[in-house]
Amino acid sequence: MTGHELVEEYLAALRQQLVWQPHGDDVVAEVADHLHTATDRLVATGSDSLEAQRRVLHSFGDAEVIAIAFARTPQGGVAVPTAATRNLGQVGIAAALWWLAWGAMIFLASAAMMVDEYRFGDLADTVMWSGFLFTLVAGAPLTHALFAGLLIRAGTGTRNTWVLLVMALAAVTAVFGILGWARGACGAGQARTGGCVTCIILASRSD
Amino acid sequence: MKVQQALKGHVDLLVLGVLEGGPAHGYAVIEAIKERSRSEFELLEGTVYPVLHRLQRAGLLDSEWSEVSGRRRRTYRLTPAGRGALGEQRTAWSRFRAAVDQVIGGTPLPSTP
Repeated sequence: MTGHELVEEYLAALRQQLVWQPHGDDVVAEVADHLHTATDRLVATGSDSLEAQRRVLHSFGDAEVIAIAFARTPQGGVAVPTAATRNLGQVGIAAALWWLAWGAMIFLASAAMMVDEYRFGDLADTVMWSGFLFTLVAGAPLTHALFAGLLIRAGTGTRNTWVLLVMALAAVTAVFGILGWARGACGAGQARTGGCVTCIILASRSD
Repeated sequence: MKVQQALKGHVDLLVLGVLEGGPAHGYAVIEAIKERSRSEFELLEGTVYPVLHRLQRAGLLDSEWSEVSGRRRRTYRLTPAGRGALGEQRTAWSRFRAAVDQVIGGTPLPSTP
């Protein structure tokens, strides 16, 4: 035990952040040497141990920031996950589950309409329309967050990349909005397959 | 003057320059940068380590582990390639500095017709 509890807590947090980092233990050992040496020096000049640790940790930087700095350092093609990228990975899983659920909803609604349009038509249309709206507000942003996570993980994200991602999100939202409007213009029950493109075609033919 | 902004992109040169004086561990490198810059360069200390690792992967630095006061310590040294890179970066920096000095030196503009 070193008597530097705050430093030890920081090192534990950093170790967790770098769990997938190649040579992560070496990085933590190197950082430990830095933090303990700096703290010892401040204590030797009369600083209180706790205050010295706080100052040293403040100068060194947040564990997450340091982990990201290491992740952005090229590793010879090996991607390095951090806590942030792991969280975005969970977002990615949520996005994938959403798309699967939406696909299943469309399939089931379409099947129900094919079986008995008169009986299930309105219900199926409501299900598909609700799914579409949720996709607009949840599915698309989740998918973009997934792409952002992949870029961060690979350490290749630049300011232009983020601008492009935001523009792509806006474009997807716009396209979905137009398709949704077209679907609404078709009227309930006209779109037998639930496909928005079909709705546009149907809408244009009805003009 | 936003010194920290101007520092971006020159950390490699600073690290190589410090290590030209002899082998040193990360903490000593950071302290040397602070001391030589008279505390003008207040780097977020933890971000210097990824730089050291990157320079080592690029073959500009070499490192070895030792044990000091019961702790593992990594000491970095310049490689011959690192000395070469330092020379090149120094030359580039000198040219850049001279050019900036020329531009901001306060020389009157020639009169335009």
